Amino acid sequence: MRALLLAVLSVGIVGRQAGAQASDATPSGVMRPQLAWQHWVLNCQGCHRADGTGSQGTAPSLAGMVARFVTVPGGREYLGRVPGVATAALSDADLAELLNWTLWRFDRSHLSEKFRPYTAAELSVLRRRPLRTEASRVRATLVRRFPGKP
Amino acid sequence: MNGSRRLDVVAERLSRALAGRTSRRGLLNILGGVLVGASGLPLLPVARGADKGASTTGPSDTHVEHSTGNPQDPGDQTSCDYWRYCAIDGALCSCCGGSVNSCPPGTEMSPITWIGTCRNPADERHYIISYNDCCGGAACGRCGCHKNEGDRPIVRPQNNNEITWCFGTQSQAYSCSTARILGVPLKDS
Amino acid sequence: MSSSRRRGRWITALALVSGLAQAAATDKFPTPLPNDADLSVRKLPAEYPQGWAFLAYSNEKFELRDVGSDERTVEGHLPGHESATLLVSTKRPELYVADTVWARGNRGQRTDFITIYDKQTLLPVGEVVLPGAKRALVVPMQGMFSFAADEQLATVFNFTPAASVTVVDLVQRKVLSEIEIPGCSLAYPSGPRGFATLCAGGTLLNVQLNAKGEVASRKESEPFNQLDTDPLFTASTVANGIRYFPSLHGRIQPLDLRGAEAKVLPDWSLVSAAEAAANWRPSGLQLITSGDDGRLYVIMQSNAHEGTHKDGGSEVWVFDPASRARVATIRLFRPALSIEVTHDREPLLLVAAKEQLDVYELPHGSFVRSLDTTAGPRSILIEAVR
Repeated sequence: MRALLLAVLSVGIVGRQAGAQASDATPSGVMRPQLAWQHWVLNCQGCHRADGTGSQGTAPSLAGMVARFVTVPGGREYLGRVPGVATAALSDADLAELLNWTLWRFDRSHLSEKFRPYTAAELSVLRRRPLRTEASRVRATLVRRFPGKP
Repeated sequence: MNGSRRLDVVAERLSRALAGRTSRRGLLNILGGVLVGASGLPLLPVARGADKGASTTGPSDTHVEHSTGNPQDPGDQTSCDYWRYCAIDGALCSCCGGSVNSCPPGTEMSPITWIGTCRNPADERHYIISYNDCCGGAACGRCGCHKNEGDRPIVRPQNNNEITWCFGTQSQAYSCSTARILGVPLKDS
Repeated sequence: MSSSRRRGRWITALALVSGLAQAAATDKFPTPLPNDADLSVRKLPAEYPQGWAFLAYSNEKFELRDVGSDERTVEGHLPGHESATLLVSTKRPELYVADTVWARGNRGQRTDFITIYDKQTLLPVGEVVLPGAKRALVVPMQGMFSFAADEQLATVFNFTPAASVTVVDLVQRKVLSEIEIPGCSLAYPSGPRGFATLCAGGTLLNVQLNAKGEVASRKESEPFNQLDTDPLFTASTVANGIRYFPSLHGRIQPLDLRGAEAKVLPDWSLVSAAEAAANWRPSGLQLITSGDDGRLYVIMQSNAHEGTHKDGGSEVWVFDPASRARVATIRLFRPALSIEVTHDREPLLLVAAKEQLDVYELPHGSFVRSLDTTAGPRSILIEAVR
């Protein structure tokens, strides 16, 4: 399928984005938001849903939630090791942009100015050790560290 | 009961029994063949009205082409060859009371789905196609298609058409599949 | 003459003629047939003959069939409903079907359950309800429902779309645990008490269990499954203890899952450069199997291209995994979607070809017989009796 995408002779028509407008403030760490959206659609949206709300107990909700992880110790690493991210069919650079875009798209309010966007180098290390049988436990521990109310 | 009426009843009973009981693949197995068009059952050789001395053969093809009328979206939306169906696996909602992008009444469109890309021969673009399944209704079993372009083993579920994509719905019983356009991939992706 | 009188005369004439015929027949057989015994149900033998096989019809039902003789008899059935999968025990006189139903047919409360059947009566003798109603509802394939720990345990692959494995103790007939395997899919028996699963980073995750069925150890391999360019099929076969997976472009990936530590062995190619250039590739559903002789049998199609990997093929190529050489080519008169080799002393190659099951003698591949199936255009899975 990626070969198909590479072979596209598109005249560059922009796809539809549910919600986010290209004219909004640019997400930090995202050079090509349109491409990030496309990667989101093809790799993530199918399970996490177009609005990022996911499904109870299955694909976790990202909306209003996902950026909270980068505010607690261990959370930043978690987002790079969660299997949906770590083993996504994307290069480190594309993955970094996708992750930064996802945080901005679904949980902008929890991103502070202090947020350092993910880089390809950082993700290349994190994604080598995907979480597996312990993934839920790790997530639950991190969620308990979230300050205050959601 | 005359011969043609009896065959109708048998066919109807068979269809109900199958629709109520089977998964999409089971029903397609039993009905047989890659079914094209709205007529999902094997065509019966005896025409109605044969007992009245009318012609002993009826129309041999009940398939009706359903095209959009839009030259940029060419093809018959009830045929497996329609461009959006390049990786569809299941029954076409276009033959089941829905359409290429909507579910039949009595079903629920699953928000959780798998997504592929297909080439539109009219404008030569590859489009991102979302194959949302319709769930909870009867197993329609018409227009069964089994296309696998871009399908990959289940270890990459987002590229796999063997999963019954009925999640986040009241029921997970499969009815049929749609093929919704989500956008166009970028040239340099 | 009125029509009723005319009818009356015809009836009388018919009665006379049939009466005469009857008199002649009863002379030939002076004693009538004995009455049938009371209500009766046939029972299967304690050991099934090795010419029998289970045909899984997209798992609407499982048909036990005599494929080894021209009788072609149907010996029995097990029911299935939604993505039902079968395991046949070689240790206990039992069969196991993992299945899913909804309380109102296609809606209502969903129940996933394993039914335990007695091998001779095909009657349910037990049941294990699987919690959470999470069983993967997919086109039935290997790895959805597998034995582990020498048939003491079974693993059920769940997909919600979160992936996990439910571990069931088949002897005690109860659920032991649910183990999350995010990003991984399907489960194969591994080690003395565990399972292995293939993951989205191209790796294999090996999980060993403790007595309670919980994770005792887990280890992930280095990436070896080339998911972008040449992914492994989900179909595999075990020959001489090694599990072999074919890939989309015709490699073979052996995995040694016998010990507690899984070993990814070197892969090799089923196709020569010329064959690859002609786009000979494996294709089908149950597209690889093995015989008791340790050989691998793979369905091959020529002129393969994107999208043809489930179409099946016109030839079965036979390989010796030790020498990696092709030792035979069996040309089929009808393309195969699934294949299986029986465990008979004189093994047979079973070929599911849509509505028919074709049977060929081995090793030369001479056609023997066809059996009708109710499979339609989609293939069946086949399990030969051991």
